[in-house]
Amino acid sequence: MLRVERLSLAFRGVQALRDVTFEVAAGGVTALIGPNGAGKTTMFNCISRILTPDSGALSLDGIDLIGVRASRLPELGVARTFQHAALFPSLDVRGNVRIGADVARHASRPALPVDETLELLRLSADASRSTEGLPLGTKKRVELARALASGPHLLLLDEPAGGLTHEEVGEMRDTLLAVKERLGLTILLVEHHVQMVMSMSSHVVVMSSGEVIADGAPSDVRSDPRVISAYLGS
Amino acid sequence: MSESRPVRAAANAALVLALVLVPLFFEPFRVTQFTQILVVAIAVAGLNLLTGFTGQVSVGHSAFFGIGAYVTGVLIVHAGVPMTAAIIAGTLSGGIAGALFGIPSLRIKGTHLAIVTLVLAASLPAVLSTFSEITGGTEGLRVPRITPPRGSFLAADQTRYYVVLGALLLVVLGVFMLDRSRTGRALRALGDNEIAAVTYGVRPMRLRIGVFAASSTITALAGALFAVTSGFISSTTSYMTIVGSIVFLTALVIGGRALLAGPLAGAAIAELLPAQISRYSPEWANFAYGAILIALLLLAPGGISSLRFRRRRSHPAPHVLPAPLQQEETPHDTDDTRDQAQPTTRIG
Repeated sequence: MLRVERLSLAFRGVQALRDVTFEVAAGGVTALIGPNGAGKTTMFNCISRILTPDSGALSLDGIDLIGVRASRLPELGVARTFQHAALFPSLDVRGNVRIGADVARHASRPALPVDETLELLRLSADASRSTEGLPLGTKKRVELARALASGPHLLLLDEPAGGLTHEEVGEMRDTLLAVKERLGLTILLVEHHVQMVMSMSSHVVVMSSGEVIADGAPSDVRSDPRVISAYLGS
Repeated sequence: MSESRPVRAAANAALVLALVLVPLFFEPFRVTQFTQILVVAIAVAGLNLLTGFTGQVSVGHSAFFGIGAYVTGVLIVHAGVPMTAAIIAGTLSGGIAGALFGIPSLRIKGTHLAIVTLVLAASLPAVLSTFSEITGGTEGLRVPRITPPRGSFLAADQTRYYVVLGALLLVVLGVFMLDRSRTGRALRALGDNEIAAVTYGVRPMRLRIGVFAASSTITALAGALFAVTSGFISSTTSYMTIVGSIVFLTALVIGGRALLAGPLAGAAIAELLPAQISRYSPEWANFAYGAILIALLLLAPGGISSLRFRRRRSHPAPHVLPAPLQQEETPHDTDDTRDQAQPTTRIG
């Protein structure tokens, strides 16, 4: 579904991504993991077209994404969440979710109705609340609801479990798997929570210092000596 | 929480009723004064569209007010254009100028945009003086005022008041409908977090220029109505100088973001309070005005209109001054920067 080929990007001489290559298969959950500074979020920002790589190719179902503007990506069925839930505080919870639904309507794509999305993410009671005072776990669910309301095929999740309690991580994992099954989504996630990654991913890509150091099934990646070295230091 | 909407609707209906009744109970001098407050409220509603929705700050709206006033006045006086057509032309001229000056807003934000628009505000009086043969320069231009239609039972001052009130209510209704539309949500999203907004299909260029044009169109309408209700405009008329921009911004901050009550309350205070203070203590007028404004903002950081509904609103009244002036926006790319800058090992 998504192909990343030899993608490279440097910031003022610092090589953030170096020849990154991997694929995200349709209908699966691919996890992008690695220590801090590995370039995971940079990779995400390239895929969501916030950043433009210096070289390499990026395609979604055969469509070259490098020439596509960030604002057109949701029309192609790509939605993302952010590391620090990037909600719109001047809109209430429903307003935030409706922004996603607006995209789906504009693209004439079938999507979950807003009320159903709110219910699915257990947000109906908070629908008219401001997003500013919400607990982090609820904010993350609002962001996920906004993404789902846009009717995506590919969901990019940047640390969906970041900052959540142990219990909330479990709930988030169950929620993600449930919506994935129900909506037939493909998920690419960046996540530090190894237990969550290993239990829900079908494919894991490990990055370190801007490069892919391992790529495969969770069980294979877990025992890869390069992965152990990257995390623990050689 | 669910009762806040009916309560708000009832309060707005009562406010509209009070506004309709005002000219029936006051002498012509007061009605004229209230008309001027409504004119300023329209200008503030225009500024609110830009600042309140997208967080962009313009200190140049006095120029759009002036363009509206002068295009209207000059067309009526020198070209013999009918008043209604001249008002429409004046209003649209302000909108076109706004669209042109909205282009810098694609690249610059916050205080930088404020400075660019400040230059615009500072330039208009000089331009008006340069073309004094047409504009009258500092000597001014006498513009025919709105008169009651034949057979009307309304006095001239009442007619002018109702025309301006009608325009204000139409503007507020338009902004209200925009607020509830897809475009309104997109504007608010853009003001809150541009990168996240773009990720959800919001196209900043179109929206930024569009909202700048719409905002300046409304403020130019206020200028056009000022010309035909006051009957005199000059390059030194305060609303057309930088003072006007400051009055509009002050009124916006004092009034808050409620669509009708905000501009009205802000305009009333910005118009009446300095004059009232001057009557009692001319020497201390500016100091007292400043102190009262600070006290008002300490009591109601979201503006006066936020006081009434603060407890019931579904979400707290946001600060009128946008984030860009409170704190420059931090791009999300900083996540990357931090990611790159701290290559500490972390076991997931």
